[in-house]
Amino acid sequence: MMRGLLPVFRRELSGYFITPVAYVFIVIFLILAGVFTFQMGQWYEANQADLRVFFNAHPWLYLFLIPALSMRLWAEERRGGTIELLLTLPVSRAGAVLGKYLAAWAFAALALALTFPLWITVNVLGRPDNAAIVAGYLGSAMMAGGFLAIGAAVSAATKSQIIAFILTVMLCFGFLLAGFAPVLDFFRGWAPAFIVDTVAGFSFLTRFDGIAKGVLQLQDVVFFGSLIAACLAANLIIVEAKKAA
Amino acid sequence: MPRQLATLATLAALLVVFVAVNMLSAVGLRGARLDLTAERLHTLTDGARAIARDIEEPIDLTLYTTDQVVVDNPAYRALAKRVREIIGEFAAESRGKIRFKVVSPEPWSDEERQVQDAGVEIRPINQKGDVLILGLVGSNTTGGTEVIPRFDPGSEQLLEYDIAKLIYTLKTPVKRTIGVMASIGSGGFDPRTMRPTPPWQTLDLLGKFFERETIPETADRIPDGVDILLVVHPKDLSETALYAIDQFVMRGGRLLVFVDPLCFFDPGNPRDQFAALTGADKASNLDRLLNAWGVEVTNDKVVGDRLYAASQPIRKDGRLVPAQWLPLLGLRREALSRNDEVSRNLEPAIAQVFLAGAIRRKDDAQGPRLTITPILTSSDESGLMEKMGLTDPNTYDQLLDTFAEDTGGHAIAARLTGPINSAFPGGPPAPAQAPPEPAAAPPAGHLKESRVPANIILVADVDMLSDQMQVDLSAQSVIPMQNGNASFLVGAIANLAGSPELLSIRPRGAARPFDRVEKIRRDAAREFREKERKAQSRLDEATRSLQTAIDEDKVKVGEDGRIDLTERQKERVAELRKTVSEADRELRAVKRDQNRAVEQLGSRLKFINIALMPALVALLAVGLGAYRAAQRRAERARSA
Repeated sequence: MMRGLLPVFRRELSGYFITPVAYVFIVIFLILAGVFTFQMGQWYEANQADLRVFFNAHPWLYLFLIPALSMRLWAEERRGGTIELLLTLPVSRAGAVLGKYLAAWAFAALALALTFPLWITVNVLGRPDNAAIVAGYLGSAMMAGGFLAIGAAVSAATKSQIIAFILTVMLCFGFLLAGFAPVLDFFRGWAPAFIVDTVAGFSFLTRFDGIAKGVLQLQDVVFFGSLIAACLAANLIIVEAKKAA
Repeated sequence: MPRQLATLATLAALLVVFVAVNMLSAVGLRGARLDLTAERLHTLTDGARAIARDIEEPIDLTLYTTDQVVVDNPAYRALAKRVREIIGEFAAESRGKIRFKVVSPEPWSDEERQVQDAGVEIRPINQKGDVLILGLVGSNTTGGTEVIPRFDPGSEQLLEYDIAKLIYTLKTPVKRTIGVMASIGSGGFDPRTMRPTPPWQTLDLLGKFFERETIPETADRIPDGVDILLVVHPKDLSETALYAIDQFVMRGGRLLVFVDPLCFFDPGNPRDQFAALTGADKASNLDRLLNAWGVEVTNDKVVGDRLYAASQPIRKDGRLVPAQWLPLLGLRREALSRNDEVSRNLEPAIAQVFLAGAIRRKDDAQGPRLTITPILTSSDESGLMEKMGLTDPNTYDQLLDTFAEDTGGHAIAARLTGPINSAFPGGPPAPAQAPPEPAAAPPAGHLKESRVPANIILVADVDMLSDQMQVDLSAQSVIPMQNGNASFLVGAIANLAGSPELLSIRPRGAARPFDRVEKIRRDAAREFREKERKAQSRLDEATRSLQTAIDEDKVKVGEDGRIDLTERQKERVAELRKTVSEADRELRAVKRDQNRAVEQLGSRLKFINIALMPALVALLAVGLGAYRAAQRRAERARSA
């Protein structure tokens, strides 16, 4: 069923490094992460041996960078017609969907991993709670996975990368701010309280904040896991539908 | 068309499943979590949970918070969230006994007014009239209320304790009884002046907050109604009295002890010439008990501290001159443990001790030892000095030259906790005189070990409680010395008055400052004080030489009333001016260097973290690109 997962994964991942786009992405991510932490977050001046400021910046970094990564996942294949080629190869649809997604996730994880000098820095300067930092990295990777899954599904639905980008940013922004007054007010007028609470529970920010502090809640893991699963299923359904159309 | 419809339906079904899964997990998986932080910061401690679980009558908690401002201020937003979470956890643990609600009063509303009346602080934060409110009001069914006027971002480690304490006070609204066993300060009769002496204000103050019971130093048992025993300056307690204290602790009684290797304000025995010199008659200790529990207080040495030494006048050649009193310490911010409720609540935030001892572990103790957690600590420029000869402050100016610092600070006040054994393993001591009827009253239940872990606060200074420390030492004027000693005493007792569960809540999540940066700052501060001392002595030197010139050469007053200085005097004045400006320049340079060192480290790290890795990645990209281009050219060349 997952036939072709590995070849697709490999092709996609190596594909990133052939074009300069990937390097540009990593460079921008690293610079922004540093700037958010040091310049805007005043991490050094705060004189606290933890990485909270750094992690707090991640949702906002991902908001624009992850859609840029995910927009080309399917939209480009569809535009260039290579999707027909891909789907005629001895590769299962599910394998293709998952392979592409995992490649993008691995790439994002690599970018995240390259922030390790900060981890070294904090350990040189003081004595941080390293378990909490590991939790922060895990949570961040999980959140990136959530953003990417949304982006992948959107990318499959359109031929235009630009539209895919804008739609993904909007959706992700909604998920980020769920739980904040503007989004909740939108529901509060008509929906029953449990719906409002559920929507509030979809907030990436709240979920991630808990993990970044070092508390791994099963709920949060279920949330990100189910989000990724649902988006990938949607991705598959859309690819099937477009193929048939 | 139907095909597309089917797709949409499937997608909609997917959304429903996703929402349903998360709604279920929000209910079903609540509390299933893994606290990965080293100190389990985000989990209520067992003590806090026990307090919440055993509430009988409902307690209402209302958290007042301003939405708008809290949202704009990240530190407060995080704090407000944390406060809410913790109270939520208490409420969840209480099985409905804690009714918790959050109220955000509209600006300028009546509600805002009520908040203030309830005792919650409303702090203006800008010119526009925006205010910040973050306080908790609790009430119980008997009409008792307790308020935390405000939470501060700096106090996160004690949040759990503060809230637990509020809940605890609401559920047990009983005034605690404190037994006072004091050899000094409780008022009496001064044989030298033949007049009654009033009790020390600090000790007198206790009656306002607690039920107070005086316990004679000859007591053979601490009465059962006593919750906390305050022992001040125990000198020559009998074995029986010591045994009474021991058994009080074994029964789970809380103990607050003030001992002193040299109590300056103890009149001592004026007839004993030798003792007057050594101060032997002004010492107290509880060694008989503390040593058995693995703790000792220096008996012949007191703590001196260059950093915290207070400046007081001394009498020199008939004149009053300012001097640093090495053994008179003003323990400021850094000396107070931020993690202990007792020192955190000092108002003003400085504790003053005089000729204090140092609290240390005693390693050769048998059996279980108490854990020592310092509450007041001297700086790392402190050291121990022989108490011999320190009875006369007028000699303190000579101490500075011979004073030697040792490594690390000394604990002057500490919390002692843990299970311990009785210091009287063989049972009660034999009475001094054989009782008239031996078998009449057998010792009622000697306890060999503590029933619950002991909780003791030990302070190695008695002077801090004296009235004289509340006023200016030299002038004997009634200008209060701005210190928090009285609130230290009240805070310590209030703290010990809490339940064992409450006391078991230790602050967690202490700040983790950058050790590197702190070290740079500390070193610079030390260098600064070193230079300052040298500059001061050069200044003194120059002043003295000017003074000699003035004394020796007659000052001529001109006809117009102007003073004509002699050549020598002019020279000395110029010299003094030069010394002053040089010293000033030098000290500024040290400050500048300190800031520069910290900033340099910062910008180096900024560079490494913002630019270095991206640059490496870019280099790699360019290198790889060049390599691939070269390969392609080679291939083309080959195929051509």
